[in-house]
Amino acid sequence: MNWVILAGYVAVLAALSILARKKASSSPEEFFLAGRSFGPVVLFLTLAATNFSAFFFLGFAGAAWKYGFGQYAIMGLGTALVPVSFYFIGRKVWKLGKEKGYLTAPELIGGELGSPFLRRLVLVVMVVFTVPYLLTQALGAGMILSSLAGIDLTRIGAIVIILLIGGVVVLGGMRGSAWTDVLQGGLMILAMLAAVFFVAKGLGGFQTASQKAYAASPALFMRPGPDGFFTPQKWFSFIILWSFVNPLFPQLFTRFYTARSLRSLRVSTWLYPLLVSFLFLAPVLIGVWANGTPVDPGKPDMILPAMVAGYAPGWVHALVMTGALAALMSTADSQLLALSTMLARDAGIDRKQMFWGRVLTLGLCLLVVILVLLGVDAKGGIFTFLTQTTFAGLVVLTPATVAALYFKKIPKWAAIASIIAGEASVVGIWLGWLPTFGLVDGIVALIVAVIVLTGTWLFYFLFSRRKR
Amino acid sequence: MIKKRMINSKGLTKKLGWLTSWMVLVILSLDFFNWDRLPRLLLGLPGWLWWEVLLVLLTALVFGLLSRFAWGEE
Repeated sequence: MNWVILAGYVAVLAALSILARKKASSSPEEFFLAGRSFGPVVLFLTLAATNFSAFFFLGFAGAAWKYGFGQYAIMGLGTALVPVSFYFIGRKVWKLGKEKGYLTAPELIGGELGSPFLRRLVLVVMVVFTVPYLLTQALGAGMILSSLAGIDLTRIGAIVIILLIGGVVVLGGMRGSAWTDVLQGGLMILAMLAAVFFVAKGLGGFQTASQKAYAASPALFMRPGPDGFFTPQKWFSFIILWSFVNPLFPQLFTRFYTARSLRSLRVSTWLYPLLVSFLFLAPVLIGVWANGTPVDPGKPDMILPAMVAGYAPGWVHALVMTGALAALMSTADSQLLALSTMLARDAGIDRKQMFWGRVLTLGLCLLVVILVLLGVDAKGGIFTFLTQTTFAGLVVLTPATVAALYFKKIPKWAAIASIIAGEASVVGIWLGWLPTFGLVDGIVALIVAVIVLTGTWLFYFLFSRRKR
Repeated sequence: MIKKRMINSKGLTKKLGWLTSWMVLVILSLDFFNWDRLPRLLLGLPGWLWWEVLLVLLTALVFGLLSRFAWGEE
């Protein structure tokens, strides 16, 4: 039964990709941005499916298992606040994309501040820090297939799924990615709701499940949580972080260009928090409830699959795992497409951009395969791994992006210096050279980037005035 | 010139509206008075969590109103 549901899902996915390929015309704007044609519903579903990934399905439950209900606030409210960036960043990106034909983030940032070097720098940062995120999607897929098969298939599962995702992107481009996102987004929501409903039923009801976990570990139900994890600094760090980092995920930034009109984006602004309000509760509940049961899969990221396998009927397990796979595949295909678009467009390839986009997509898949074979893993769990890598590295780009959108008189060197200093601070934190004062890595790096940007700008402003 | 200034100040007011609402919601998230306390369970969830759920719904409402009335020109 497990494999029948999974095979059915893969077949529909392949059919949609082939259909999207037939429908698409042969321009780069069509392949990379689906001709900037998405209406409110498709845009909202593709934004949600792209953003909710293995991190959402596996990482949240794992973190809630360890740290408790506080996880809902830092992720749920934090994510609900993200649409403020649809207004400040998305709206402007859409307009400039329409006016000047931009397809990527580096193109816009470098173009608006008049610096080809800045464009390349943003490209490098985006690629380097998105690869760990892409890797976690592949590893998450391996974990899900392992849960379905009942044996460890992490590596081989990761390789098979990343190649399958690569195939979807090569075939369908952005239109295929968005169409499959609609299917995957719907499946993901259904699967998460089924998971929480049937696990609660298996544990004797919603309230009984909570009471068992409360009796086993009351610290999970309060702040600062077990081991004092939720300090006020960390609380504010996470709640603020998502509003600044999410728009700088290449796969989300590209989505801003795809809106047919500003109305499409406007609708997502209020639908997004509405979806988050109930959907994010589900993985957190399952993670916390696990503490009242004997389930202990060892790895935190495996807690949701283990709970569903243990307390829900077999077909629900298959459905939920397929939904989890859909969540991470919808993110991974968007990441692959966004990265290959950037590499084809911003690395100086002038001819046959679509061909090179497809080749680079497969190249990125191969890179992930190599990383999986080398045994690179999200040690400490997906949540911690991404917080220290992707989120910290990408949030550094926010000040330069805001400068490109609103303060074009800021010299390009200020933006370049802010990115270099911000990324240096990320490395400094990894090496233990820079204190975090209890804040999350990304917030420290963001503060450094803002200080360097404004400091360099002021210095330049004063110096150039004196010269005049 | 005066017309341009008026449009600019209108745009600034809209931006300030968005920013202020976002900041208020961020500040409201820290219910410090509930920290270090064992909560009572309400419908299976700790009492303070309902506050956070309410804030998420309030965010949807506030963003809905802002996008309706303060989104700016199409």
